[in-house]
Amino acid sequence: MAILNQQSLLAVKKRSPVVAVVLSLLFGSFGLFYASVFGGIVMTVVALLVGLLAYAFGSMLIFKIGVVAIGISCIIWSVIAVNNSNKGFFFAQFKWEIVFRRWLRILSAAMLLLAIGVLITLIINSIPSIKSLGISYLWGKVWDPVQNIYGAYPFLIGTLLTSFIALFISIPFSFAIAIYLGEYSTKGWLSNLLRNTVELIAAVPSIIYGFWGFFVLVPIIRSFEIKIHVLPYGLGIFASSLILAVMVIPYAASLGATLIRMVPAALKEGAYGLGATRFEVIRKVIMPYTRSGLFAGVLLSLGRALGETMAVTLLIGNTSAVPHSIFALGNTMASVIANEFTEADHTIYLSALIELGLILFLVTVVINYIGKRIITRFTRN
Amino acid sequence: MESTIVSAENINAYYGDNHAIKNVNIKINRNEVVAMMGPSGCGKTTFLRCINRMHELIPNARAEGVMKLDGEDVYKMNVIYVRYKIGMVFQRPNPFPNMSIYENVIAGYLLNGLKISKADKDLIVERSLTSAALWNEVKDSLHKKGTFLSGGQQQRLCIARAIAMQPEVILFDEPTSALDPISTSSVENLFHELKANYTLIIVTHNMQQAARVSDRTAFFYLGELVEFDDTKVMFTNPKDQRTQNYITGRFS
Amino acid sequence: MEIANQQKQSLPHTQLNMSGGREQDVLLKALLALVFGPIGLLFGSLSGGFIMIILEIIIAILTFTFGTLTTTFYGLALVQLVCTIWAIYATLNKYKTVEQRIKYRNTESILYKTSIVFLSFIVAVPLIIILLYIIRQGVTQVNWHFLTNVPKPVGETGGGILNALVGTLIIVAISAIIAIPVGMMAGIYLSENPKTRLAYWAGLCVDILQGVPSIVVGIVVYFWVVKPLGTFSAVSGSIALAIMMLPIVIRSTEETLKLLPPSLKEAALSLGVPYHRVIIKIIVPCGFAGILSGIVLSIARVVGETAPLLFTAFGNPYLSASIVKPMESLPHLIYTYATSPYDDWHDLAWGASFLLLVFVLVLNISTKLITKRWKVQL
Repeated sequence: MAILNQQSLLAVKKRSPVVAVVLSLLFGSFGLFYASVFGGIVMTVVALLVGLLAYAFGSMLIFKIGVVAIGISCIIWSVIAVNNSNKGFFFAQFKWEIVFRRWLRILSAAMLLLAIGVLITLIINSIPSIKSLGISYLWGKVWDPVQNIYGAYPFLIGTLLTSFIALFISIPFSFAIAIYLGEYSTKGWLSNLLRNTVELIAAVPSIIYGFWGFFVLVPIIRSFEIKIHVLPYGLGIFASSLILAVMVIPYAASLGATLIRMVPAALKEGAYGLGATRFEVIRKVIMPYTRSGLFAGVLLSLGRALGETMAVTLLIGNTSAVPHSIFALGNTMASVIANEFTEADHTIYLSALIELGLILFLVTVVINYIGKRIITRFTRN
Repeated sequence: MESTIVSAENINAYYGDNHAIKNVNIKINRNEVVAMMGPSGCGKTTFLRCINRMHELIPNARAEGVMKLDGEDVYKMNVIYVRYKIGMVFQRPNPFPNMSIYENVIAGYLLNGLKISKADKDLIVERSLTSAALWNEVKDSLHKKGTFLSGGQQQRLCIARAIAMQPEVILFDEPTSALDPISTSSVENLFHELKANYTLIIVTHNMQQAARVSDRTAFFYLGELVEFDDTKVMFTNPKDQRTQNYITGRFS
Repeated sequence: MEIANQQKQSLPHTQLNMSGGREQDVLLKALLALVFGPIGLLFGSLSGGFIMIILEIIIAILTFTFGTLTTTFYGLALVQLVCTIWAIYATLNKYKTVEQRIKYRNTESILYKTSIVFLSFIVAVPLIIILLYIIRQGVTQVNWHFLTNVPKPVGETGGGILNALVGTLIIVAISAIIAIPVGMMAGIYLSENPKTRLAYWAGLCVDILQGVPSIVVGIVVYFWVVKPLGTFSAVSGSIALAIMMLPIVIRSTEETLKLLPPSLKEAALSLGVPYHRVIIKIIVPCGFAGILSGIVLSIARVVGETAPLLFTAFGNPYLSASIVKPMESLPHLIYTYATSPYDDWHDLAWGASFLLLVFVLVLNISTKLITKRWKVQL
């Protein structure tokens, strides 16, 4: 019971390769439409982009190279397309499948190149500083570009201080949220409200936190500092840490909630069956079970705090001296890069800044990697 | 008119180091219903997948030997063409959730980007659904999503989807194991009608089903094809001791 | 029955029956609380310690800001006293009868829950304060003039942020054009071939890229694009933002597609449909809601990014549509104007912050709607 004639359905129009080549030679990407509609669209878009680029740069050279390159690729494409489609419907599909699979692989491999490229770029560009400053760069206490003295110690301390103070302030809150969303109330409007609030905290751009802190938080801290008789900058490590604390809460909280929800019900029910109260279940069953996961959440928060730039840049006061108290002004690695990168007028200066970026990169990568490993091991169990 | 349509010659299949199919030779005739039975893990599903090269989706799996469809070696053909010619119905009904019933039936054409006229589409949908004994139930709701149907209806929709491509052979991988008894009997009744136009190869672990629906039965045990004979002969007078053990329920 | 009860009672605290330890225990816990305050109380009663730590912080902040040092001193002394009493009470409670202890444990559980709820919901306070402040400061700035003019030079009033608005749209649009196809393809590969070595390494690199501080992305793109071109440019900013979008798009695509049953792919392949059509017409449409919400989320994440734009798109006080010239963007405008000494410019920055916030909120809410509305029923 042939419903319809498959042969006619699958039949392909034979196309002449000569016509295809001539057409692409004459009309470029438009001529390619004869051989392959998809190819025609792609090459037309590419041609438009190249034209735009050449126009934007006002460069005739780019234009000429572009025309030649597009012309050649159109001809090659048309020959291949005609050949493939002449071999029948299934052959052409099969070729497409191979091309598609190859592109999937290429673009995944591009991620590898991207990450390695970031690392290599940072290393290459910090070589001048590594060569001339050596390892003592790390504990040099003075950063004075005018005198050509570079020491990263003040920034390392500034970064560590702000991040860890922020972490300590945020942990009770993020763990409380994790426990609430993971154990006390996993559904319902109230937990939805809290969940959305936490997501919103993560969504607000860091520049807005910085801007708000600069105009609202800093005056409050200044009057507070007057009360306790320290120099009333308002800005400084303390202000940055407070804002950072708010900003990093979501990372540990949402991960913690997810992991606490994964605690097997049988385990909890066993404890309830023995007459444990909810508090005791949380403390004696849930906490030990999720300890490593909660730690991973804290690590992710730490990674965020270390790399956070804009809010800190606005609030820390940007002084390249070693901070002597938590109310002092300071600088973090990220903030000094943000402030001085465009001003760096000689090689060593720029290179010293990039070395800071390299350190920041390596530290955050290691911290994130450890965090991710813990999470994968946790979720696999 | 007994012409061979599928013939396997010395098929061996491996999952990594695990030798799953051991040197299977089988010849299946046009327009017959062949049941493949055996205890679970005996390689019957693997063998089925080797026929239309679905085993290639499983990482580490490979098959050796010659599998012929109409005299042509399947493993040397274009894989897309092979699957175009050999339809398959799976254990769990799997209609495409993003398509309506109508689109599901002609999914093979839609997905392949083949242009067919509206009249042809309507014709294919009606004929295929009628062959799958589903037309009367769904003709008023053709544009609803296929996932709203019951399990048995979904499975018949999947059969219609396979029929619509007009394949030479349709493979069934335990098609009723996820269905209730009523749906099962409606699908089984279908096999008798489909036999007129297609060759059916049905994997089942249900002996009664094999006895009910098939013309010939193959018995697999530990990756080997133990016996392949007329269903009546197989169930009344098995030649091999292992087959007899299985049929009499000595092991399952 | 009675014996059983006694055994139960003695299980959690075995030192309980040593009557000699009781006075010492109470004294020790009281002393700890007296000397170390809430921290010391932690040893006597965990939940009590937590509650008192918070209470102490609040009292300290309140008295610092609104009172004098003396009030702070009295306040903290009071906390210390309460801690001591709490510690004695809690420790004594440990030695009560079964009924009393059950009552105590229930109270403890309730108190713990209260403190958890309190701590969880208090994080909404800074968020609400910030949002309300930005809205109050910003909403009065936003009008037609503000949206359709470029900033005026110092000294002249008025002016708007058209350049930043257009700039942000162009920069983010180009980065989306780069990141979405690449990210989706890589995500498809990772979900389809999870066991290959390439997938392992690519996945690792995606994790790394996700953790890279945004400022570092800025540095790298500076050397990749800005330096070879010889000028700051919008397209370099787009590339920086695209690098930040990629991991989010990849991961959301991967996670969504991994949830789809493999039977879908098998069904399509068994119909003789080539792999690329299966992916494009079945797999991606079935996971459409998840992928799209991931894309929108990634846009929301980068639309407020400033750090990577500092050395790439830079900034531009004039309206510019050329992608190879410096271009202004909302976050960068906020940064430059916030750090300027002029009130007019601060007002512009508040207005821009409000707009940016609205963008981010709308994008975030739309991800929720997308997942709710367009989810394909499997």
